[in-house]
Amino acid sequence: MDITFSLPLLLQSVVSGVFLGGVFALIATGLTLIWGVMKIINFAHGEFLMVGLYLVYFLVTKLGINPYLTIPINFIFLFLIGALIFRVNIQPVLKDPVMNQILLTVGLMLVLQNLALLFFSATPLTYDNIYNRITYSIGPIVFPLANVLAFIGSLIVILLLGLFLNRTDTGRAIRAASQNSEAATLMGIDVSRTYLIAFGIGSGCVGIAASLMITFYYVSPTVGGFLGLIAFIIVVLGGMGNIAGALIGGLIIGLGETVGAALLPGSFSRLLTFLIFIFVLLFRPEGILRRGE
Amino acid sequence: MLKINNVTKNFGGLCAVSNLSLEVEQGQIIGLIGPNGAGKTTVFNLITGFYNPDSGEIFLNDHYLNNLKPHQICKLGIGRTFQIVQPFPDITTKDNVMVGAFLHTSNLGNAEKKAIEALDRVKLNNKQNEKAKNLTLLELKQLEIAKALATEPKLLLLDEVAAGLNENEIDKIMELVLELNHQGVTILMIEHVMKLIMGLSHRIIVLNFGHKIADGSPEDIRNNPEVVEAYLGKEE
Amino acid sequence: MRRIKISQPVLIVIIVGILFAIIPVCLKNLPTKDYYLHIIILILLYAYLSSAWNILGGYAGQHSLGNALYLGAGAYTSTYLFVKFNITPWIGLVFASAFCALLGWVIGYICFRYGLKGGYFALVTIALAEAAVYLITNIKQLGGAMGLEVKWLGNKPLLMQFDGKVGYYYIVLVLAVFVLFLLTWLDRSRFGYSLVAVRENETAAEALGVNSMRVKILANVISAILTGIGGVFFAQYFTYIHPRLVFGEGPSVQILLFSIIGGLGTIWGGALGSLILIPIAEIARAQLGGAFAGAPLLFYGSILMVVMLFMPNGFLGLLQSFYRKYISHEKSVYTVRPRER
Repeated sequence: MDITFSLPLLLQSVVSGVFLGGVFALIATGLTLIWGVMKIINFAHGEFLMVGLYLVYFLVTKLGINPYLTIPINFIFLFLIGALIFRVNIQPVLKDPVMNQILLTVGLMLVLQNLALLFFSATPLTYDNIYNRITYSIGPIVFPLANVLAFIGSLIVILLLGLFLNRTDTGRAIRAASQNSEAATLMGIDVSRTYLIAFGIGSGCVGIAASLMITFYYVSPTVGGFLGLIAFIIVVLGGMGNIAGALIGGLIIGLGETVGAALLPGSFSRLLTFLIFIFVLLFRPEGILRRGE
Repeated sequence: MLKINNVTKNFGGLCAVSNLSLEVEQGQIIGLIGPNGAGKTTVFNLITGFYNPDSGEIFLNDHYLNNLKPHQICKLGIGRTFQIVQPFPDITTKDNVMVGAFLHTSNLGNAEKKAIEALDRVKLNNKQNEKAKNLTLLELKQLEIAKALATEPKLLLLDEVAAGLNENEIDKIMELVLELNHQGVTILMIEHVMKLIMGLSHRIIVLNFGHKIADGSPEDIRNNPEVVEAYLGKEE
Repeated sequence: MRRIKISQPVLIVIIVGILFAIIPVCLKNLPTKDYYLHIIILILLYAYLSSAWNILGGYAGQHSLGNALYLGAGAYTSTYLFVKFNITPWIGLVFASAFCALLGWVIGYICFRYGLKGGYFALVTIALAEAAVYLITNIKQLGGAMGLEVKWLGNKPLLMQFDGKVGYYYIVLVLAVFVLFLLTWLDRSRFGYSLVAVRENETAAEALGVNSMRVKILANVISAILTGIGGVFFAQYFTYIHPRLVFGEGPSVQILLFSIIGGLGTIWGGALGSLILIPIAEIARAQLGGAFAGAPLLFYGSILMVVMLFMPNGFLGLLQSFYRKYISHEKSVYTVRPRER
């Protein structure tokens, strides 16, 4: 076991970690919204991202659209898919025991993953683009444009989402429904439509993340597995329904991935991430950053 | 039989039970009354190990109960019912009671016999094979008692058994409690239904805001101005 | 002379056991017999694994979504001992059981000591199984990502290796029959009742003298040991294991799916579920050609969704509501999850 240590390498990994963390945070934001509002543990969240990635890949390679211009398209598309899946699959089981809901989304995860395997092969696809090749550097530290844009994009979306939830009527309705659905109904809020919108937005976020990631991440049917689990870990760390928590949690995990990979051999950093996850679940399931929501 | 010495229990800033001392002698029926929020169910939870006292001691005969877990306290001979009935919904009434019966036997046949006996005592044997989730409220209350009885308790804690029942049903419960006491079970019961408390108790203890404010015969309590002032409960 | 009373479930297990035992004999002259034997071996193996899960998930109501952790633990233990030290898997079995018992105890203790329930417990079990994948992938001595191969030394029953399928068939049949007998006992035993009590209402169970933490941990340990033993067989039969294969969500989901379909907390749940679903999955795999390895999982995922949406009580639950009237009421703790709407 040899641990190499060099300051430039460390700094680079910190920078990369922050950029990665931003994107992780965006993915997790979608999940925390869904989880926080409806108390649904959506195991298929990672698979939504996978679907989004395939869509973006298609749009940029076959239709030649600029990846960043696919953001609105992908958002809408994933929003609709999310809404549809919610209506057909999730809504019927909202009142069922939690275990049933979990198993439903696990089934959905398997179906999406293996359908993707069926239609596309397991071979990872990458999109060769200029954003990945343009880099800036400060000293020995390299900033690929793709990652920078992804980071900035994620932050903007998270911010917009926060504003949406706090400043708009629909946003407030979502927050009300998440705190007390009965009271919300009594106040005239259409709770099931609100849930639908929340689920759609949560899925749409993941669509945007896909658009931002296509420039530096690969596409394959199994992409959702790992990223979905990462999203979970972030949500648990940051607190369910806590968007600021998702941001901070995302950064922590992102840093953990890159800095951990730099310092520890092999996938031990990932193992560490899991162990932290289990630890938090056992002792602080409401999240390390306890914030009232 | 049961001795509570100066027990205090706090939850955060709220003092639920404060320096409470009381005694229950074998063979008695003791009533525990007081306004809502007086701490009565907390006392039950303290006795049965669902909470641990912050200070003070609880003894059952010579056993020190303070830090024991509920299942250990049950094994020592204290049974309880819950204010909101806690059946095992998806299994039959008989199976519900058998869970309790298995405390003192590991033989299926024996457990079954004990369960049927207990159901007999509460007059619920006609519903042996009905799933608990299909029972009426009165039947669920009877089931609660049967389950506790199957564990062969020396002391039975009844938490508002009469709540939600109509006149007729209350009479039935009263008969049952009296019969159990005649069969040798010591009873400590929380009640709001005064008919039950006044009619059955040898002694009544009154709680208010976690403090004991009175302890005496039903007559004494009825005439105690402090109790009347605190809240005597609804005359049913 | 005392008449020995054999209960109905035990009788059924005996009959089924005998029936399955004579199948290989019947198929002896069929040229494609290996294919059919393979399918039945899968059915028996998953009936065994799923029933082991059912003790924890169905009876005790603690739905582990990561039982594959023990499958892999058992598989790797015996295979490593075999590959590195030439210890026969029959002995490796003992080590695997011991290791899984310890693992099950530690995990059970940590989880249930802290009152982990429902969805959170499920998440922890998933995380643990995933962590195992990453952990083992990084340990070179255990083969890393390439896994371990059970080196083939010919037909050596003492090394749990057989030519053809028949040897494996009878081993897994013994396992399946054993676990079914275990369940018939459990179903009507004090321990079984305490499991169900904890599942149905933990508070009430405690108030009746049931040590809920001990009961849950014990269920976890038993389930772990049995699953680990299944892992040893798994490794020997498939002769090649790698982290994703034995620790992954594939086995975990199948194990619980079959019990859900067949009936949670029933003696026959795991067996029925595998009997119904595995043949269909295998047909799907055959139809879609060898290239699409994901056919069974696609099938299982769809079934999972359909069941959760339309019949969370499984087939057995459906049958039970019809059968209630005709079978005598000395039936035990049939414990089908209600659809709480």
